[in-house]
Amino acid sequence: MDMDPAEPRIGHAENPVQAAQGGDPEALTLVWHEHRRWLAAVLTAHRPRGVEVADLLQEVAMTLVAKIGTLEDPEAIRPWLRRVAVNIARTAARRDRPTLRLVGQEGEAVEAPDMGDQAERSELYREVLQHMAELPVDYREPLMLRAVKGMSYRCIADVLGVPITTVETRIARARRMLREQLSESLPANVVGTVTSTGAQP
Amino acid sequence: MTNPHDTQDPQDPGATREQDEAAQRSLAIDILICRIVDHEAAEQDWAMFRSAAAADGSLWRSLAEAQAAQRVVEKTLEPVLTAADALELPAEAFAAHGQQASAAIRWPSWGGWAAAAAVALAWWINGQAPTQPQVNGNSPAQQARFVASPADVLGSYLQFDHVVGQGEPQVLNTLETETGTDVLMLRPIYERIHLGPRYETYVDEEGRLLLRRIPTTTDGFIENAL
Repeated sequence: MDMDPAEPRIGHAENPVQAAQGGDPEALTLVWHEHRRWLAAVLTAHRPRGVEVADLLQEVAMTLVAKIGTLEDPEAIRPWLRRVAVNIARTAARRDRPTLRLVGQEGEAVEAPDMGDQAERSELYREVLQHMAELPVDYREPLMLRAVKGMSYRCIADVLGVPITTVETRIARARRMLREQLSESLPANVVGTVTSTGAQP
Repeated sequence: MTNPHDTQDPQDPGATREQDEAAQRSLAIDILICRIVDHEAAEQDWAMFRSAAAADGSLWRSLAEAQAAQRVVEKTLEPVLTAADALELPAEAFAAHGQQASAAIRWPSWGGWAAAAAVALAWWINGQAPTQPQVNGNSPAQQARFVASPADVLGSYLQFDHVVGQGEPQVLNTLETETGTDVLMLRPIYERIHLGPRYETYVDEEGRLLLRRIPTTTDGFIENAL
């Protein structure tokens, strides 16, 4: 399998992880920028109901800053970050954390924006979210990771710590379930015919 | 790239050992379709798919449906991913990063979670959740050895078994400043303390639930507010 050119660079010899561990703030920023998108996908797969992905992602960011020095193997940054994200989502599910409400001068509550607002405006997307939430998490997570540009099967296998064949099987099963659930919802013009997405060699 | 017919997933919770041949074939076709949709297909994958589709023309529609489903998933997730792009490292923790790295692992110079809680209010106001996940299986006390911020300390404290949870924060007062607003807040933390059989509860004249030790012949009488 060829390396995807868009694949994040972290995990190779001259990576910024070691520089970040040494206290280089620019390297730390680079590490964060290269991983935050797929971490958001992981959190979306694991988040408990009623908890915003943005809140969880902020906790991951804080943990990255505070704990990157404890990472023994810089090459293992992906599975380490994924473990941090999953632990944060699980901790959020266990605790009864109240939502902070600051009352403004006019008395209106100030709340964090919902990262899912845009998608949830669409009936179809809401339905997709519902169906994805019903998938087993072991299927849901690789499916969501694949939706992040640059996340190849190899990359996802690295994040999850499983063989590539496992990633393929789980994505295939997840997509099969989703297709069956969505078959009546997908507009005919969306299905259409085989497009350039699957361009033949 | 492996042959999809050889694909097995020992960790797959949905897999059973007695999958029949038809199910295996179906899974193999699904994997081929996924490889094509995900730009992971090699020439031999395409050859296998064409061969299968020659015998079952409906596979072309399955491929189109899989592409459509993936596009919908990507569009559904796009707002989350776009928002993630805008989320930068927390400024306070970021500023402390250099100090933390140079000072290596250390205890915070100030002690006490209450002080941490007071300082951590700023984190709440900035939308930072002062919680601390279990990392590498460390206990809260072990994690506290690696903290870099008051929010970390409070987050670790909240994970101790005797901490039941947090109450709704209350805004007590606000003060306009040149750069914004300082907010004085009260954030209650509920805790469970086991005292044994020699205590009893009672309600005082002001309606407060109180705790008192049952006096014995050898000691005095104490009472503590819960």
